[in-house]
Amino acid sequence: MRKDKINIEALIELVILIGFSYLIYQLLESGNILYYIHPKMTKYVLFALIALIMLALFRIRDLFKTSHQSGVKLHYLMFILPLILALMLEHQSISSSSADIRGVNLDAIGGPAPNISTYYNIGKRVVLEPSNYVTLLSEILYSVDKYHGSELEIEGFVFKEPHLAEGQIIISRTIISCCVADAENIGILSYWQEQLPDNAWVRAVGTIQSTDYTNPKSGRNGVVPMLVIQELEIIPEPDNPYIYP
Amino acid sequence: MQQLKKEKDSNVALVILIVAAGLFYTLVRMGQIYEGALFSLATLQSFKTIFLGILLEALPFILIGSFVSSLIQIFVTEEALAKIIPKNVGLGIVTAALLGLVFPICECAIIPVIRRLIKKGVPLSMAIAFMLAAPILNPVVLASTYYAFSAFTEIVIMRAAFGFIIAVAIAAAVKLLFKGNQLTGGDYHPHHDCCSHGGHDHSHHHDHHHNHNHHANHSQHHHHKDAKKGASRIFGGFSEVMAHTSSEFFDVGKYLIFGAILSALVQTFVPRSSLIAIGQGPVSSVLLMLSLAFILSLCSEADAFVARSFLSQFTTGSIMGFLVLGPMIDIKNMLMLLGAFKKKFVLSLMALIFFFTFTMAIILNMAGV
Repeated sequence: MRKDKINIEALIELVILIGFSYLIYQLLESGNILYYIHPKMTKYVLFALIALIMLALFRIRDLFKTSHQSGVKLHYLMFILPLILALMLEHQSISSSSADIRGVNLDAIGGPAPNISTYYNIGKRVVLEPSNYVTLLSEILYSVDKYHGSELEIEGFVFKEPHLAEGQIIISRTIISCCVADAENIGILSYWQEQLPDNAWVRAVGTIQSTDYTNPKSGRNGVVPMLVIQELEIIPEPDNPYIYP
Repeated sequence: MQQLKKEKDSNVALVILIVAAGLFYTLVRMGQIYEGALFSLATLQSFKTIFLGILLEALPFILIGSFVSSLIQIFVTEEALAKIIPKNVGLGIVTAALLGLVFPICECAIIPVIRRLIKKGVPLSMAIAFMLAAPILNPVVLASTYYAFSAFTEIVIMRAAFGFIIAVAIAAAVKLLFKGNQLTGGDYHPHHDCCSHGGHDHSHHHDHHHNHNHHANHSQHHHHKDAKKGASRIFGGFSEVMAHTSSEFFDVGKYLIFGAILSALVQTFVPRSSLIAIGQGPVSSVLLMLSLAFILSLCSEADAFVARSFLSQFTTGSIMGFLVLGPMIDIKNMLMLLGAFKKKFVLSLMALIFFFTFTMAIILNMAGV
C-alpha cells in the first residue's frame, strides 16, 4: 500500500463529523433547534457539538495515514442521509400537521396537579399561556364541573375531525417533553359557528360549558368541557408553536 | 491480487454511495414538485422533523456512551475489573441491576458501554442486568416519571420495582441459557487503525487483522514506548480515547440512525387513533402498548409523558408494560444490539423481555390495579 494516498475512510468520516458539527452549530445559532427538542436538551446538543469537533480534529491526523481497511463501508450512507435531509429542507415545526396523524387528546392527561385550584380564581377569566397550558388545561379537562361557566382565553391551532358535530372544532397545542418524537396534542373541544380554515391559528375567548362526547376510536363516552367561543381572532402561527412543560 | 480487489471494492462502494445520494436527492426534489402524492412535501417535512428530533436527542448520549466505553477500553484493565466483580453470580446480577441508581445512564448510551464491559470480561448476565435496569432506575428517568404522573405515585414505584425485578429475572435466564459472551465475532471492528494514534509505526496491523484482542496487545506496546515522556503519554492516551470514541460513534451511530428512520416512518404514516381503536381489551391493550413502546423508540426520560397521555384510554397493566419495556428494548436499541451481539442472542433476549413484561402487565390487569 502506498503511503501518499489519501485515506478515503478517514476523509468520509471527517466530512460526516464536520457536516454534523455544522448542522448542530447552525441549529443552535438560529434557534431552529427548538423545532426538534425541548430547550432543556440544548445543553446536551451543545456538548455533542464540542465532542464532534474534537473527534473531527483528531481524525484529521489520519487523512494521510494508509488504512488497511478495505472498501468504503456503505453504512456511511446512513450518516449522510440526515445531513442531506437537514440541509435540503427548511426547518419546520410539526405542530398542526401532526394532528392528523397523532390526533388530539381531549381527555385529562394524568391527574389534577395538586392544589392548583388555589392559584386560579374560579369565576374570573382563565388565560392559558405556554407556561401554564399543560397544568391548567389538564385541570380543566379533569374537573369539568369546577370550571363550568368560567371564561377562558386560549391560543392554539384549529383541528377538525369528521365525527365532530356541526360548529364543533378543537383548539389545540403541541406539547414536547423531550423531542418531537414524543409530541402530544392537547386541546379543548370548542364551538364556533363560522367556518375556519383547517390548521389556522386562533386566539379565542369563550365560556366553558360541557357536552357529551364519544371518542369515535375507543368508543369511550363521557362529559368533556366545551369552550363556547364568543370572540375569535385569527393570528399568525407563533415563532415557536410548541409548548414545553 | 488481493490488494487490487480491495481497491476495486472501495471504488465500487464509493460510486454506489454517490449514486444513492443522487437518487435520494432526486426523489426529494420530485416530492417537492409532485405534491399531494404519498410522498408529499408535507409528509417529508414531518418525517424529517421527527427523524432529526430523535437523532438530535440521542446523539449527545451516544457520544457520551462511546466516550465512556473508550475510557474503559484504554484505562480499565481486565484484572482491575475482575477484582471488583462479585464472585457470586446472583449477588453480581443484583448489584449490576442496582448500579443504575448511581450511574444515571440512558438506553442510548448504555449499549457501547456494556459491549465494552463484556469484552473486558464482565459476565454476560451481569452486563445484561445493568443494561436492562439502569435506564429505568436512572434517577432522572424516575423523576420525570414522577412529574408526568404527579397524582399517581404508585406508577413511579411500580415502574422502578418491576423494572428491577424483570431485569434480574432476565439476567438469570440469560445466565442459564447462554454460555460465552455472545458478541459477534466478525462484524464489529473498531477501526483497525485506531491504535496508530500513539504515533508509532503501524505496519504491524496486518499481523492480527481480525483478532479482536489486538487492542490489549497494542496497549502494552504503547506502554513501553510512551513511558519515555509523561506528557506525551497522557496525550497519547487521550488521542487513543478520541480515536476509539470516533470508531464507536460510527459503529453504533448507524444503527441509531436506522432505528430513528424506522420510528419516524411509523410516526409519519400510521395514525395513532387507528392504534387506539384496536387495543381496548385487557390483552389487546397490553400487546398494543408493548408494540408501541418498541416502535416509538422514545427516550426513557420522555416516555412517561407519552404514557400519561394514554392513561385515560388504556389499562394500567398496558401502561406499565409500556414504561418497563420501552427502556429495555426498542427499534433503535434492537439494531444497536444486533450490531454487537449474535442474532440468536438478541432475538432470545427480546423474546424474554416481551414475555416478562407481557406477563407482568396481564397480572396487573387481572389484579385490577
